[in-house]
Amino acid sequence: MQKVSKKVILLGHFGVGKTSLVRRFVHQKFSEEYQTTIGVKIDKKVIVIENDEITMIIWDIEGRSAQSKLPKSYFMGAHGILYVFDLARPNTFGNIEGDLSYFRDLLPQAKVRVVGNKKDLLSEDQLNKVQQELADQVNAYTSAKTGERVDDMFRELGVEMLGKNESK
Amino acid sequence: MNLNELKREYSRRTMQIVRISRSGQLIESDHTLIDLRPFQGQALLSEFPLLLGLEETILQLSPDQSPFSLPMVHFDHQGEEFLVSLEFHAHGEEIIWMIFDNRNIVPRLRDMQQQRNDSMLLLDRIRQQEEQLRDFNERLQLTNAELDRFAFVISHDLKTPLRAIRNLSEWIAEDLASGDLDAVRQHTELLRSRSQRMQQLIDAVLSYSRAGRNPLPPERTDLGELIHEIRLDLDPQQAVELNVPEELPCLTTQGTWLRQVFSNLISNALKYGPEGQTRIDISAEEAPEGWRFAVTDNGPGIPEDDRQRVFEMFETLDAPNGYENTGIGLAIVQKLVRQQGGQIEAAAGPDGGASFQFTWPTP
Repeated sequence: MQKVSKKVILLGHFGVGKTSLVRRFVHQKFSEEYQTTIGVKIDKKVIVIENDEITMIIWDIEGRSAQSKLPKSYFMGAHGILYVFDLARPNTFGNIEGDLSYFRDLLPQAKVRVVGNKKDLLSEDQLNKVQQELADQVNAYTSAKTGERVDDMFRELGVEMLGKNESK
Repeated sequence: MNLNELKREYSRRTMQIVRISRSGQLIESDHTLIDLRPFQGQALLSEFPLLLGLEETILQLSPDQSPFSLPMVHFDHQGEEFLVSLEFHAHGEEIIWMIFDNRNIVPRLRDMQQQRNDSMLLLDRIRQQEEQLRDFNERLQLTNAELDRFAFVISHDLKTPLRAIRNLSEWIAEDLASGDLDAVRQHTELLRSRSQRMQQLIDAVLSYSRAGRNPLPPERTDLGELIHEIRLDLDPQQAVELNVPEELPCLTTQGTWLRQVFSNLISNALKYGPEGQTRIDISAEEAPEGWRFAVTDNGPGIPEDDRQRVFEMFETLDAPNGYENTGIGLAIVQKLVRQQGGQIEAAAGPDGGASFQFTWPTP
C-alpha cells in the first residue's frame, strides 16, 4: 500500500459553505450557524483509494469575493483545489471561468473541481435552471447539510490527484 | 480595534523562534507555543503536516527576499488548537521560522469580519429579492396584459352566440304564441347549435389559459417518436401524407408543450389542406439557440395581411372543408413557443400552402 499526503485548498466566496463541507467530510457534522473563517483552518483526513492511503491536508481558506485578494502563500504547494460556490447565491458563481483561470496560472499542476453547494436550499426546478446555466462547468452538486455527494466529491479529487481512473 | 490597538496587541503576542537548517532539519526551538521536541534533528519541513507543499518555497528563500508568511493559520497539533501567523526568514545558511500567537487577536478580528460578511450576505439577499421582485413585476405586467386581452376577446366573441341565443329564445316564444311548430323546431335546432358553439368557445378559453402553466422539469423527448404518436392519434379516415425527416433530434425540453405545438399545427394543416389529398411536411434544423422547425401544408396558404392575425385568440380563416374553428389552436401554439423563449411566424410554403416556422430554444 502506497502512502501519500496531498494538500487540498478550498476556495470561493464567503458564506458558500467551505467550512461546512470540511466539517461534514472530516467530522460528519453540520451546523446551521454561520461563523466566518479567518485566514486558513487546517484539517486532515485519511482515505483509501484502490489500496493507496491518501492523507488529505485540507486548507479551508477564508472566503473572498475576489480570489486574487487572498495571500498567495495560502495557495503554495496545493495539489488539489475545490472551488466552492453557493447554488442559491448567483453572485458566488458569476466568475467561475475567471477564477479558474487565475488558479491555473498560480498552480498549473493542481487538480481543480468546481462544487455547487447548498443543494438542499433549491427546488428541483431552481436546480435545473442553475444546471442549465452552468452546463459543464460544475463537477459536483453537494449539500453539506444532508451530506449529499460530499464524500464522493473529496474522493473524486483524491482519485484525480493520484492520477487514477477509479472504476465505479 | 484601531491600528494602534492592533499594534499594541501584536507587540504583546507570544512568539516562538525556530531555527531550521538549509536541509530542512530542526536545529533549535524554544517550544514556547508548539512543542517541536519530537522533531529535534529531524527533517521538520517535510514531516510537519502544516508545511506540506511549502518545503521548496521555504528552503529556496534568500536573504534579500521578504519573509514568506502565512498571515493567519488555525490547526490542531497533539490535541491542542493553535491560532498563529507564521513567518519564514532566510538568515545565512539557516531559515528562521517565527510563530506568533494570534489567540488574543482572532476573536476580535473574527467579530469584525463576521459583521462585514453578515452585512454582505444580507445585501446579497436583498439584491436577490429585488431581482425576484422585478421578475415578478414583469410577469405580472404580462399577465395583466393577457388578462385585458382575455376580457376583451371574451366579451366580444362570446357575445355573438349569446346574442343569437337571446334572439332565438324570443323568436321561439313568438313562434309558440303563433302556434308555428315548424319554426319552433327550426329555431330550437339553431339555439342548440349556438349553445354548442358557446361551449366550444368557453372550452377553448380554458385550454388557452391552461396552456404552459405548471412547467415540468425538462425531459428527454424523442421528436421522431412524438410525431409518430401524433400521427397515431389522427383520424384514420382522414387521408394525409405526413413527410417527416429520417433523422429527428432528441431534446431535453418541455416535451408536453412541444407535443401540443406539433399536434395543433398538424391539426391546423389538416383543416385547411385539400380533403383527401392533404400533404404535411415537417422539417427540423439546428439553430444557434436550439432548433428551428417548420410545419408546411399544401392548403390555400395565408394571405400576407392575415399572417399575424391567425395567432390571435378566436381569429380564424374560412376553412375550405367547412370546419367550424374555435380559433384557439394557433394562439396556444404561439403562447407555448413564446413561453419556451422561441418565436413563431406564418409564411408561404413552396407550393403556396401555409408554413409555420418556429424556433425552440434548448439548454
